[in-house]
Amino acid sequence: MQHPAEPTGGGDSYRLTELTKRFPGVVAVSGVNLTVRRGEVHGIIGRNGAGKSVLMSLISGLARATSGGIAINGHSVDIASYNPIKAHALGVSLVPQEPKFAARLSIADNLFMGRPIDRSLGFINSAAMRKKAKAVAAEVGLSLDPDEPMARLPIESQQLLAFGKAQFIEEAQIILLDEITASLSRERKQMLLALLRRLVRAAPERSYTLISHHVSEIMEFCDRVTVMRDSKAVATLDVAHTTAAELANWIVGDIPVTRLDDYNATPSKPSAPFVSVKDLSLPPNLTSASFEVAIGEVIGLAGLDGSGKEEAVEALFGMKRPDAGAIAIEGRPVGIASPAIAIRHGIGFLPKHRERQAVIPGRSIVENTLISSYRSFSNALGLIDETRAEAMTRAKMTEFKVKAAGPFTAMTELSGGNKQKVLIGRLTLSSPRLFILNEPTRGVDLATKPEILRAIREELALASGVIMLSESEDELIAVCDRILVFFRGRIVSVLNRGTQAFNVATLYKTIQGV
Amino acid sequence: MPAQFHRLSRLLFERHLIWLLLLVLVLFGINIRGFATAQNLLNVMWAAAPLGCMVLGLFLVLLIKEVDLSLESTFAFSPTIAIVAMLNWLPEVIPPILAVILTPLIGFAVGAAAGAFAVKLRVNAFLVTLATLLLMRGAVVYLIPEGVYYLPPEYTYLGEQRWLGIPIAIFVWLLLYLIAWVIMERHRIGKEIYAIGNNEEAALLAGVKVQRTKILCFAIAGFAAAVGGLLEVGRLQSVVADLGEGSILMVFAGTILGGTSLSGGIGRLSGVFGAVIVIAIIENIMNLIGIEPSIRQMVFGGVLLIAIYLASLQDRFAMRIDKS
Repeated sequence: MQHPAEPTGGGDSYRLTELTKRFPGVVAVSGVNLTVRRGEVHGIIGRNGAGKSVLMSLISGLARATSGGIAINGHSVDIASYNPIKAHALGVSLVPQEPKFAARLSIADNLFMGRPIDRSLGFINSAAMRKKAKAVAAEVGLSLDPDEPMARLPIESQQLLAFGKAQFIEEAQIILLDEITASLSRERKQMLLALLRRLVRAAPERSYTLISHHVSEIMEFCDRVTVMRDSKAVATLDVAHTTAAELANWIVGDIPVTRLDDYNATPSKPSAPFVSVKDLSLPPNLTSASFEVAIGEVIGLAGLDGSGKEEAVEALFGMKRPDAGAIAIEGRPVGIASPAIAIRHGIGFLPKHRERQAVIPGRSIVENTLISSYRSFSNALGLIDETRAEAMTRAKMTEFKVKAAGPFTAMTELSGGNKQKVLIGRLTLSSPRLFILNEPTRGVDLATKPEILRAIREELALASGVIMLSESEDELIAVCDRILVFFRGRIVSVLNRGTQAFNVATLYKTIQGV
Repeated sequence: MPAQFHRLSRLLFERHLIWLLLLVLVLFGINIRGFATAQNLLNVMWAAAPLGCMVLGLFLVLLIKEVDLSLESTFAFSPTIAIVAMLNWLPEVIPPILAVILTPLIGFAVGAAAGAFAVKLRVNAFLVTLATLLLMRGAVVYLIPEGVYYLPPEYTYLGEQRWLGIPIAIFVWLLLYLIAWVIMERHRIGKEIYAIGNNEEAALLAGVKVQRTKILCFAIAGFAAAVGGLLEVGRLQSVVADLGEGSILMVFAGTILGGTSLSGGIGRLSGVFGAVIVIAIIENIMNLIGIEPSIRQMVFGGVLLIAIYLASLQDRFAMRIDKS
């Protein structure tokens, strides 16, 4: 068993050489060279899919690298047998994006899981553990009862405790923070990042690696930053000698990562608004948003996680009840209390989490296609016209190019992209006047993405309005007529097609608030 | 060859396992004196009808990923209320025919009430129906501690009489399954029930009225259990306080043996129909051989164990085939 070397101050905390991770068909991390020094807070930034999270799982042993080298505190590890247990022994600890605690167990039990404070003969010293748990919580700015179950705490407190566990209980020397700030409120975020700065100064043998989507956080709290683009580390910059705009330019790059066709050669001429939303508010994330969508328009909603864009569409589809604001459809004010009511008002919704929120796994393509519209395929008694149902399913499968053995194939047998096409077919079947598409290309293979984007532009937007949310700026620029940028609960900017500002780089910077 | 083998084993395990089991039982039964007579087989079906009705109810509730333990109490409670109302409370107002109609409606109402409690107030249905199981049984014991042995022939007609030599109860049972089959396979509601059981959130976002449909399932389950109670009361020509008591375990055995998954969304009506017949035939064969009641219980314990194992095997098979 290897042990972490005694800190010597300065020097390398960890070093990656030509580190590569291949998944079937994709290179997720490609020849990354990266050195993180002792005593620094090192930022990792890049757009979605740039390879940041995969890189973290390679360092923490959760995934095995295909080739390349990892050296922790000067010790080269054997990448073929590296795993989380060895990583822990070497002092590496990953604080994941979502805290993984046993929700019903107490806070103290969770913090000391796997490494309790022993008395003797295997009996544990509960009093000492409770005391230490309270102390750890206090370090990260929380005041709590260590006997409470973990589930009572809000996610942001759990996130802070996950960090506290790595820092003060595991006493890890290399702490990797994977988008820990995404679930924190602004005050907590500031508190935590300031704490990192203090800790790194107090114990310079340590290092912190912070993945973030926020240019501003990196600029304020990191010593150096490595930019990942297209699964490569393209630059490592000294934050003191860099500006936010310069960093943003590195992130976006000169050439778009994936060149998409422009689907909007002939901009549509929208009519009167179909839906208008006024001062919609759903705290804490959405403060106020007003916008309109007309038939024939594709509107993009962009913004970081927690910027309020999700809440805006969830309120529009009746999944959440807004605190304030008005929704009008064709000029008439409406209340939308449930998805069923939204559908009746002519709104169709494609959820973000396909498997959890949309797919009916054990059933056939026919049933998955028709589930929202059985009413129009059944007689007065509710008996289904099977012939018509099957014919319609076949028509939708042809229209959206679903690849499957036949309409009675079980949904579980389809690929992600084909499932998504079935779900889009389901949506179009109830002929909504407004489509809300939340991440329509999420988990869809590369070959299918353009097909879906083309369908949005050329089929869905023919006789309806479309609201589209996407993590990919390229997609929004390729498809939308107008992009509303959400930042901290408000629409801060509107980019219109045909204007100078309608490009990926500007959109990215606007989303970042740079 | 492996692909064909997979397809064959899938077909057997997912759809036809129960019929295979039935075939084995019948082949075994033919060697037993008195088994393969029309009269015996009709009696088997007659005795199976009340259980079959309850199994249908539990089938629906399990499909939507809920559970109803109280069906065996509904089975006794519904006829009891109808009979006491007919004989004691409102003899002028409620003639026997009306009591017959009333019986399943009472079951529908108590099922809907338990369902609404569980679904609307988001209380675990296991606990809610455990409570209603006790409540209704208590009410039955309170109302008819000694039982009622003289019932008007109109009330026992469906459970007792025969048409063309065949007990009417069998027709009622088959009719109930036929209607249920049409609903599950050909009606909008059936598709929505399967959708809810497979993925409740997806069903909700697709515009299915999830709460209403779930409560409806509980209500239909109560209805079916009450019809079963009506048939059983007719067959025995009496109602006793412990009618159906403890039978919920056999109801579970039948539903699960028939291929219904405890985790919702998976199950076929044809499967549970076959399972009810299988259970009835096992009981009949043990009767004919003259096995002691205590041993019979042990046999059913074994049957339940095998049923659970087969159900898990079936899930694993389905998963392995999906992967390959």
